Amino acid sequence: MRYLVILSLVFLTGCSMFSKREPEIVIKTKLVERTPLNLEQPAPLRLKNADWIIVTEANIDELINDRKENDDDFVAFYSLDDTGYKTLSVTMQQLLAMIREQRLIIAKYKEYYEQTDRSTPEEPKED
Amino acid sequence: MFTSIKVGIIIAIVAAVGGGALYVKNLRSDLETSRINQKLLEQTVEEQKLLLAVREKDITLQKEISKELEASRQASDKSIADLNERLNKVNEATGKQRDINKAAVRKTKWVTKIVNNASKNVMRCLEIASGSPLTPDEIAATKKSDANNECPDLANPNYVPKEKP
Repeated sequence: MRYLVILSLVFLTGCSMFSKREPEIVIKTKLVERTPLNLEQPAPLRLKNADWIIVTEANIDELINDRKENDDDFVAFYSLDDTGYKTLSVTMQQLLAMIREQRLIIAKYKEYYEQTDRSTPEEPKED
Repeated sequence: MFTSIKVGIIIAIVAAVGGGALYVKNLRSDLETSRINQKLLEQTVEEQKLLLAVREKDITLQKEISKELEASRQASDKSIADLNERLNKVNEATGKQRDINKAAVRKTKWVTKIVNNASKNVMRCLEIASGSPLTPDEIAATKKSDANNECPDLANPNYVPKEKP
């Protein structure tokens, strides 16, 4: 009878009284920041200026003679008419606008992705 | 006979007590699990709230950047439009487009000087746009005659061009 009591108790509790508790698994996620890409800006342009010469019917002979050291020298002007000059001027402005915009875009990308303060002002305080 | 009944009753009592204890133990375990789950859920909600706040901040910053870029584009468009206007100026009295050839033939040296100055200024604008630092003269310029009229907003931070009427 005694064995019956003990046996029934063992059946009731199962093996729980002997079992070892499983250790709690803690999963921690750690955010690893990307190494910032620090590319150097290209060196600023150092441009050489070319002089413009306005060639008219009145001064063309003088301009040619000024550039002739010998009588058999060849003198040529690489010219634009007024329409070509206007087009070139506007093209230069467009190039300038493009360079400015591209630099601004790069600066803003840098600012956006390298912002250090990504916390929020309403961040809950821990008590 | 009675002994057997007694033993049976004892076994039943022991079984009931043991079963009850196990039931309570399970209940406690379930309660603990629920507590942990509840805490995890609360933490997740807080994290989601934070994430949303960060997203909102990012969106605000993106909007600000877009605005700045748009302003820069508008300034560029305006400078191109201004140049076009200068080059194709229409005489209000006659309604005719200005003939730069006429001025170039009549005042060749003067127009050559203007063209070369403008060219030099544009070259300098490109240098500054590519990252060249401003010179002290460029920073100090406050008059139109001292300013780089091809890109005053870029080259002369202290020069404010007069608004056209």
